[in-house]
Parts: sequence; structure tokens; C-alpha cells
Amino acid sequence: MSFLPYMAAFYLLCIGLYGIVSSRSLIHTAFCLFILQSSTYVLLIAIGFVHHGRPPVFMPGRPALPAVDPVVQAQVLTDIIISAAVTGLLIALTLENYKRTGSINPNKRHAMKG
Amino acid sequence: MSRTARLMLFFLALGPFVLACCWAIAGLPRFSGPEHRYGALAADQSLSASKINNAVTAVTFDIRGFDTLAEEFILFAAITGILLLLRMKREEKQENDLDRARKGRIMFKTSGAVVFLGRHLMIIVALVGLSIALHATVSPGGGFQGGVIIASVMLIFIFVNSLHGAAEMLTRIFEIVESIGMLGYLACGVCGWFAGASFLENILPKADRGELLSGGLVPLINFSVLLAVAGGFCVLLLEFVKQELIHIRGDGQ
Repeated sequence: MSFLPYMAAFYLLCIGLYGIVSSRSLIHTAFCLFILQSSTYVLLIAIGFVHHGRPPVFMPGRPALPAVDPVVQAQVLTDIIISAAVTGLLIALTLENYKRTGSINPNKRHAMKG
Repeated sequence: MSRTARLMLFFLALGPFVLACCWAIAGLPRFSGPEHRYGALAADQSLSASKINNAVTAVTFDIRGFDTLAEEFILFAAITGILLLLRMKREEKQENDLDRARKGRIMFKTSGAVVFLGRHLMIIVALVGLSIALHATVSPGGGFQGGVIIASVMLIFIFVNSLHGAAEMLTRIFEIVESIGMLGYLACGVCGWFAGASFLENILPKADRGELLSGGLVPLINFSVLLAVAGGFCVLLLEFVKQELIHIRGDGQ
């Protein structure tokens, strides 16, 4: 039972990988990569969790501890922003691929054009 | 490689991968275990040295300030890449209303209710975003979260107004806003050098905990991150919407 959150992260990783491998559309591939990246958020948040822990925002007059781990939360925060921007970049690449070849199927190979 | 071969290879590799991951998970610290030595140290540091109530902000902008700078540059590079990929090419030109009508595309007129609600929603969303961003030191939130919320105002703006003509100017403006944010973060770092300290060292006097501007350099860094994220995501949204207005020369004529 205590491994369930880690297994959930692992499950997300696996279905993300399966989606990328079996993908028929580049947009689908980009979103599967996003799901794959979400597994890291679940893993990090699970690692930082503390039973009956408070949010790591300390108010005067309230007992400070125990609080959940602020370090992993900060990492998840920047992680989300970066993955959103990277997904945007991948969608832009897909769009450009569509303009050049008229297809977004990764299984079709096209000759490279300078 | 064909799709079937790829899937077979994937399932072949999945077995050992699952076993290795189960082994790794068994070695992880117990879920909700008591040992968070690094987290406890960071929380302690944020209260005593940085004088910030919100430990997540302290970790992001003070303790791991240099890493956050690198992450900002990843964001900047990704958005520069999008700008480069989606720029107007030689064979493309922007479509105006006349072209659209000639091609028989239906022009929708935004309904009055959408315009009315959208204009009010824009103000509310912008204020919520600003509040979340600027209260980074005292309550949950910060430049990253607030920046993304403010960038969503752009979506409502596009929804309410026709973008024709304004897109180029808006992109230019938000590119400048993003760059100011990036330069602001760098300037906060370089300030340390001029004060005889190291890069990104928190040299400014710190107000008491619970004050809006507590944490010395942190509110400044937070504000520049807000500018960079909001500007960057606005540029990203605008670039994708502008694609709708582009058509390739010679196409359909």
C-alpha cells in the first residue's frame, strides 16, 4: 500500500512510453511525452509527502512542523513550466512538418529537403 | 522500422524495464516517511536566513536561484525556437478578410454576450494572476504560476477581439516584456558582483517575515520571472494563433 503512489508514477511513465511507440500522429506523440513527463510530478510529490503534513507556507502563530517537503514542490513547479514550453515547441515542429510534407504521421518517411 | 516491429520491441523491453523499476521502487524511501532532512533544512533556511514565509518560493528563488535562472533560459530557448519555426516564410503571406471571403470561409461574428463577459473576465483573471504572483513571499503562488494565469488573459483577448493587424504588434510587445524579464533576472544576479558578493547572492536588506517585500532580492527576482513567463507564454499563444491567418501563396488560386 505504501508503494501505491510510486506505482502510479510508474504506470503513467509506461502508458506515456506505449503511446509514443504506438503513435500514428505527431500531435499524439507530443501529448504522450507530456503524460510521460507528468509521471515525474507524481513521483516528486509522492516523495515529498508527509503524513498530516502542513503546506510549507509558515504563518506566525501556527506550529511550523511537520510540513511537506518544499524542495520537491519547487522542482515540480519549474518542471511544469518547462514541459509546457517544450510541448509548444514540439507542436510547432509538427506544424512545420505538416506544411512541408502534408502529413503528421511519424511512420511515413519523407526525403529530407534542404 | 514498421509500427508492428516497434511495438514488439517495446513489449520485449517492457518486461526487464518493469522488473528494474520495481527493484528501484522497493529501494525508495517509504511513502510519507519521516526522513526529509533536505526539506527540513530548506524550510529552516527559508525562515531564518531568507525571512520568507513560503518555503517553496525561498527554495525556487533564493536557495536554488541559479538553477531557476537556467530553467528560465530553457523557457526562453523553447520560445525562441517556436518563434523561429513559425515565422513567416517566403512562400507565405498573411491572409486578410478579403482573401478569406474569396475562399468561402465563414466569418463568425463574436456575439455581444461573449464580448461583454470576456472583457470583464479579462480584468478579473489579470488581477487574480497579479495577486498570486506578487504575494509569492507570504502565501502560495509566485511568478511562474501568476505569469501563466496572466498569459491566459491573452487567450480571452483573442477570443473576444479580432486579431487582424494587432498580432504583429502584440508579439513585438510581449517579446520585449519577456526579454526585460530575462535581463532583470540577470541584473539581480550581477548586482551581487557590484556589492562584492557572489552571483545572485541575496545582498539587499531583508524585511520582517510576513511583509510583502520580505526576502531582500526575492521579490525582484519573482517580478522578473513574472514578466518573463507572462511575456513568453503570450508570444507562444500569439504565434500559434497567427498560423491560422497565414496561407501559402498560390494555394487554392
